[in-house]
Amino acid sequence: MARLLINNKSYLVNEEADTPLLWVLRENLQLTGTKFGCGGGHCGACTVHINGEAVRSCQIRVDDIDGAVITTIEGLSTSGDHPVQQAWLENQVPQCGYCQSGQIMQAAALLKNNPNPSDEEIQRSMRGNLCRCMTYKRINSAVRAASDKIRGLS
Amino acid sequence: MTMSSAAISRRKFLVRGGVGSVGLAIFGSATGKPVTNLLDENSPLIIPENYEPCVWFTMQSNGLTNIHIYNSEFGQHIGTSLAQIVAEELDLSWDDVSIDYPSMDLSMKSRTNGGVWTGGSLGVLEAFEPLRRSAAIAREFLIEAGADSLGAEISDCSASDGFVIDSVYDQKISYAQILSEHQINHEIQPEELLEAKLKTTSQFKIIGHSKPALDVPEKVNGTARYSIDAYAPNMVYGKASLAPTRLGSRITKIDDSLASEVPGYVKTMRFSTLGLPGMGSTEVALVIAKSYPAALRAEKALQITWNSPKENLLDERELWAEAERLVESKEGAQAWYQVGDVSQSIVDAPIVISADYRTSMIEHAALEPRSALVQPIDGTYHIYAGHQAGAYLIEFIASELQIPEENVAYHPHQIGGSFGDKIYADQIVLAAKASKELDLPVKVIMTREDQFNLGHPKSISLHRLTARLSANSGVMPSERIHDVTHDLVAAPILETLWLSDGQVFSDRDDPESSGNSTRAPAAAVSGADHWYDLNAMQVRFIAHDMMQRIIPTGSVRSVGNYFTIFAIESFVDELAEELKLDPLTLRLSLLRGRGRNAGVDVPENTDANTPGSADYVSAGGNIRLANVLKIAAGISNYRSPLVGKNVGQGLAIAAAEGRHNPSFSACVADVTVSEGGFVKVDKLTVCADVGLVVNPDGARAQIESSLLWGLSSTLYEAATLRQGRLAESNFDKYKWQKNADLPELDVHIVSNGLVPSGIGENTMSLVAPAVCNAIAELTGKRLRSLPLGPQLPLV
Repeated sequence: MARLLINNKSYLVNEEADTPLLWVLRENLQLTGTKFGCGGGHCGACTVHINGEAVRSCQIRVDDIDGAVITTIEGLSTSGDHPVQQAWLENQVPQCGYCQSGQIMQAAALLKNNPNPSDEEIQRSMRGNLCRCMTYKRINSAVRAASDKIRGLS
Repeated sequence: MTMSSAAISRRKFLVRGGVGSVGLAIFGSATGKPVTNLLDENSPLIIPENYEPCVWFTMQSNGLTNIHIYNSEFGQHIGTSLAQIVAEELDLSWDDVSIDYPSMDLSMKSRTNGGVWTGGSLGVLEAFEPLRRSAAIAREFLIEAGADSLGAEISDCSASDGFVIDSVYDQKISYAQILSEHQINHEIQPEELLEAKLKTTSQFKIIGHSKPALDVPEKVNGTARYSIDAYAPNMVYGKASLAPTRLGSRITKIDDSLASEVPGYVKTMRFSTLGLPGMGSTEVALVIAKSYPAALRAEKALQITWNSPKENLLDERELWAEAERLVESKEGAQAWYQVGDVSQSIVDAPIVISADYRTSMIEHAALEPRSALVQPIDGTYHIYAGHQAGAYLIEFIASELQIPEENVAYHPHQIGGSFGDKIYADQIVLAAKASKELDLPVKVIMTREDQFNLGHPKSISLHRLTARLSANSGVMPSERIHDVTHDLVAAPILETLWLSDGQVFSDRDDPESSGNSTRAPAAAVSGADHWYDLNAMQVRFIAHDMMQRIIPTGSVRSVGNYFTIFAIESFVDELAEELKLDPLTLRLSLLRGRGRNAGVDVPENTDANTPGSADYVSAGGNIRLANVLKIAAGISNYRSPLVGKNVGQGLAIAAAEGRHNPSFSACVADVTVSEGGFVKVDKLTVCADVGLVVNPDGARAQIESSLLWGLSSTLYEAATLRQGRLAESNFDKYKWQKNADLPELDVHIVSNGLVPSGIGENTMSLVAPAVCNAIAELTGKRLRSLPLGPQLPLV
């Protein structure tokens, strides 16, 4: 049994202790914006925020995070207008789009902790999020653009 | 207020004034109660029905137009490009455009002339003319109805940006107003299409502009629905338990005594599944549970005894040993593409140059593993999934379930990456069979491990290229090449489904094929029928049947071009070295539009509005290849003193996807090699002639994607066979391009032709040969095997 605050709503999750948070989000709560890509923490498609940090939700046992504050792509902003999401739209980042929730959550966590990352810091933070459409160039431009927005430069 | 009778009889249409009593009677009875025209407070209480002149779009009386997309969406934003084509000729305001993806059943399949499939980089090319003509005809009806509303002469009216404008009295009326006042009943007939008054390309306001993709917002806020997100009340979940070998294993016993203790476990079923008709069939156990985590737990606890055929327990090295044997023995070699006579003996003591090139298996590795939900409702099986050929799926699933095709419906979802993967339907077959047996909605989700081991990777390939050169240094160097033979060993990929007719040309200057020779699997040989003006050439396909028996290899992005272009473009550089020519010079001397390489003959004044213009996609032939090569060479400062001495530059050209739909492209790779011998690709300069570009930013995005796919395959990607299945089962072992060490991508698009050609794949095959040619220039080392990773560092 775990108490979770997900996107500002509290839930009491009664699943087997080893159930990955990913499947609780996707199947129990139908928060399907968080994606399943590999199940091994290799791809980052399932990235959510736990207590403000970007975490691979396929690697988190639900009973290990009792009391955690969780944000998914659905809760990142009220109308899809977080500065990172705006930058993603402006740079036309997504192709198939499947990895992009994870990319956006990773980038949002990076910029929350470090609003003005260097190019190297962007790549270091984002390199664990795979994109099979290889939209990496646009991802990196969009992170830079989001950083400018957050710092009021654009 | 009816339209002129002449117009009616000419076009067999009816535009009906909404205020007429006939309209009132019809709508009154059809809706059962009066309705309100919200746009006009003085209006009688009528809203005309939607204007739906064809299957491609529906105009509502509020002025919004819904464009129906039958192609599948997997990152190429096909819906946006097709919407641009319609909006252009219909003169819509882009803000009034939306798209949807209609469900497919037998009746819709028939309405769409047998259905649409998505692949081969053909989507925009095939839709360009029918969509434009349909929209242009619909526009004329709007103009006539608008003229009627305005009391204007039709000939004084034109359409622009969602309005009909009367230029004489300087008045205008919106499409919304027109469609709320008029019921236009007309279904466009095929014979009318040629009457369409198309815009000239210089009049385009929407085509050729980078409209933001309509499917991007939902992919940024997390609401896009993919197969894996499909949901139905009471659905149960299926998880496959896989055999020890990819093909050929049979279940002898299922023991679920431990699995049945897992809470939520329902049962384990036994099915055979296959990716496509004609592909190898596989037996699997399908664990059914009430939640997906329960299905995962139960599958782990399941004990299955398998019987695997010993002859399938092969390793990668045995695949290669067989490939080497085949290239030597030429066993079963089929002469597929021939120019001139390569058997002719040569008197002037020829120099023989020969080289072998090898490429690994490559996985699709789309990030969304294949998933599907199938829900039975009153005997009809509803498929909720993303698939590249929904219309064809209906027949396939009906046959697998042994039910009439009327009882299958397909509801398309976004596809989380395909690259050829979502043409396969094992997951749908399994969900459908289970849902039929259980009479419940069943959702099958493949894990990444399932995806690798129920996959259809690109075949390994082995190429032996041999050229005979004259020793006579008195002729032009390019004329010293007597002939080139290309022996290509690969699995007979999709051979029952997709074959390409071979061709025979009497000589280099003969544009007409003297007839078809043997057929070969298109996915294996595509690209080997290249556009160089060689005196004589022959491509022989040698089927690696053992491979297809062990692994059902399939179509992976850019299909055969990936390895054929690698072999050909590497070999051209090797010939240039032997002939002591710069590779650019040699290529240009072999790209002179001779014979079949002039491309299809184009009558004078042919343009994008010529009926059947898609047939002219190859117009210009290899002259366009020469042109993009010159541009790329120029922009990259090819081998000029402006490029650093430590930088190697290599070239490659390609006319993928095939001779029937080429996009002409060229690449220059700038490469450096570290002191430790590691290769770094610094920059890829690419010029792609895509005929006519519909969405420049979208085209650019596809090229960026293709180039990094090409780089990933060049450097990292290798799936390997171990005991009858892939050794790699997740991304810890199967390596591909991360967001790191990215080269600069300098992409240039030439848009000067008649029709849009494919952009989703064609530049991918450029990267490997350009990089290897650059490494050879820089280090003198010729790398002939992909991926390069295992051969690094260079010593």
